[in-house]
Amino acid sequence: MENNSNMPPKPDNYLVWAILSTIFCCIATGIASIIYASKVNEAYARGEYEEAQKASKNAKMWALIGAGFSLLIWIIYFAIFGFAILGGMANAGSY
Amino acid sequence: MPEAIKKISLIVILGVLSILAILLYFSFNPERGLLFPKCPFNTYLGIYCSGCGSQRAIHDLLHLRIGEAISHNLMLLPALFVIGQHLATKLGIVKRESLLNYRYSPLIILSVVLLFMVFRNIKAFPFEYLAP
Repeated sequence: MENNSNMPPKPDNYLVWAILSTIFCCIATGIASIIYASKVNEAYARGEYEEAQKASKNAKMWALIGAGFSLLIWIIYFAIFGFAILGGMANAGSY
Repeated sequence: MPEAIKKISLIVILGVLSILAILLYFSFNPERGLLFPKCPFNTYLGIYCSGCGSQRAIHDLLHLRIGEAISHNLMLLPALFVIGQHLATKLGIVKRESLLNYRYSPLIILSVVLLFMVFRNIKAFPFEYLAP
C-alpha cells in the first residue's frame, strides 16, 4: 500500500466471517468468502478502488449466505430433532 | 446515527447468540446423541472438511480439555486466536496491526484451509492424526 495515499480507505473484506464460516459451517461459502476477501486486497493494492468495492460487496454477500445457511441448518435441525430429544429427556427423568 | 444503531444491534444479537451457543456446547457433548447437526459435507460425500470436529472441539475447549480439542480439529484454536487478535486490535486492546489486515492474509488462510482439508483426508501415518 505504498502509492495509494490519495485512495479512500480499503473496503472491508469480511475475512473474520469467512474464517468463522469455514470452521463452523460450510466449507463452500467459507472459501467463496475468502476468495473475495483476497480479491478486495489485490484490487485495492493495484489501486482499483471500484473493483475492490465490488469484491467487498461479494465478500459480504457470501458471509451473509454462510451465516444464514448455518442458522437455517440449526433451525431445521432443531425443528426435526430438538423436540423429540427434549421430550426423550423429560421422559427419561420420570423412570 | 442509524449506522451506529445498526452496529450496536448487530453486536447485541451476536453477543446473545454466542452466549447461547457457549451454554449449549458447554452442557451437551456433541460426541453423544443427535442434538448437534452432523457435517452435511461428511455425511453425503464422506470427506472431512476443514470444519469437521469443530463442534466437539468447542465442547472440549469449554471444559478445558485442550489436547482433545486439538485432536478433533487442529485448526480451531489457531482460528480462534486470529479472530481474537483481530477483535482485540479493533477494540484497541492490542496496539498492533490485525493479523487479518495484511495483503496476503486471505491467500495464506485459503491455502492453509485447503491443505488442512487435503491432509486430514489422507489415511496414512502422520496425517491420520488430523482427522476429526
